Amino acid sequence: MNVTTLRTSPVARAGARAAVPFALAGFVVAISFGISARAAGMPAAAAIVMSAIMYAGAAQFAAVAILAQGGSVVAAVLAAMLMNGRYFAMGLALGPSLKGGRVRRAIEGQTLVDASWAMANRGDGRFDRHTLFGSSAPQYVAWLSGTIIGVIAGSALPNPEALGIDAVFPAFFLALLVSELRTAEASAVAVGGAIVAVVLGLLAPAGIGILAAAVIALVGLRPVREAPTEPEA
Amino acid sequence: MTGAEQAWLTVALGAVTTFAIRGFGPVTMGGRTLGRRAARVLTLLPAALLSALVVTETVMRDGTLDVDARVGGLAVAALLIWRRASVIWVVIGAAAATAVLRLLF
Repeated sequence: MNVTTLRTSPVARAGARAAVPFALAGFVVAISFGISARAAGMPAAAAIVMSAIMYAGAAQFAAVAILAQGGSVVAAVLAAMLMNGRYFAMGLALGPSLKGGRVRRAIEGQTLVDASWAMANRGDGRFDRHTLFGSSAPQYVAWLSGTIIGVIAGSALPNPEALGIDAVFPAFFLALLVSELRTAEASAVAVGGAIVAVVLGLLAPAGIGILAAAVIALVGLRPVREAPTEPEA
Repeated sequence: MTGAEQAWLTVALGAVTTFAIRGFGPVTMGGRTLGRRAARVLTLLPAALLSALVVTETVMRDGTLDVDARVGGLAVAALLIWRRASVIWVVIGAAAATAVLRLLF
């Protein structure tokens, strides 16, 4: 990726402008992530580095939530990996549209986040690289700067719970969850996941309930009758 | 291992795995697609995980049930989502409702 090309690419600039609403929302959520990470006992620098090099909101929240519940590092990392599982599928779709050798393609793939992937999707199986990079840039800046502000605020606030900060995690997840409930199957999986998480949350060591809930997604393996007219996406 | 060491180890392993997951498709040149069933499991994973996190982070604390002001905050969040509010307002509304409930009770 050449910075000069990007700066002069009208497509990348249009992508950056289109991503501004997502970047603003991400900024607020990142502030809450920084505050929550501090409340969970995470060092300020670790929270900032996490946002800088992971750049994956839901996975970061999941990992920090499990550490805060007293779960192990293995459980936290596994939860983050499972949460990022969607990027695996999205990356396969994106692959043919990227350029260059292996290293460059791997690096270009790091600009993948949900909103930028959706905006770059041309709907014909191809993706616009410049839209992807352009829309990812403001979201990255917002995510990192929001985390830094949240970490500072979290260190300064004597009692973040008085401000309801512990409700921000689940509220953000709820907003993401609702956008995932596009089918009856997904809704059923969500209900099953919640039941498993609470029951095992009471009985098993911290973090196990969340991981076990992921197993419910395996209902996707059951055979279904394919719609005959549906074109290959 | 101290809490800080656990946090740093989680950041390191989380970053490596995220890089690998994001990089796999592009490096293998894509072209290949996942089987229909594997793709469905991957699309269903967020619903299972997000729902598990929403519920445990709302009604549990330290491995026990703990129903407190967060439930009110989440009710406000659900209302705002239903009213198609931006995620900014969902998050701010949930925090504000939780804070007000804690102030009152």
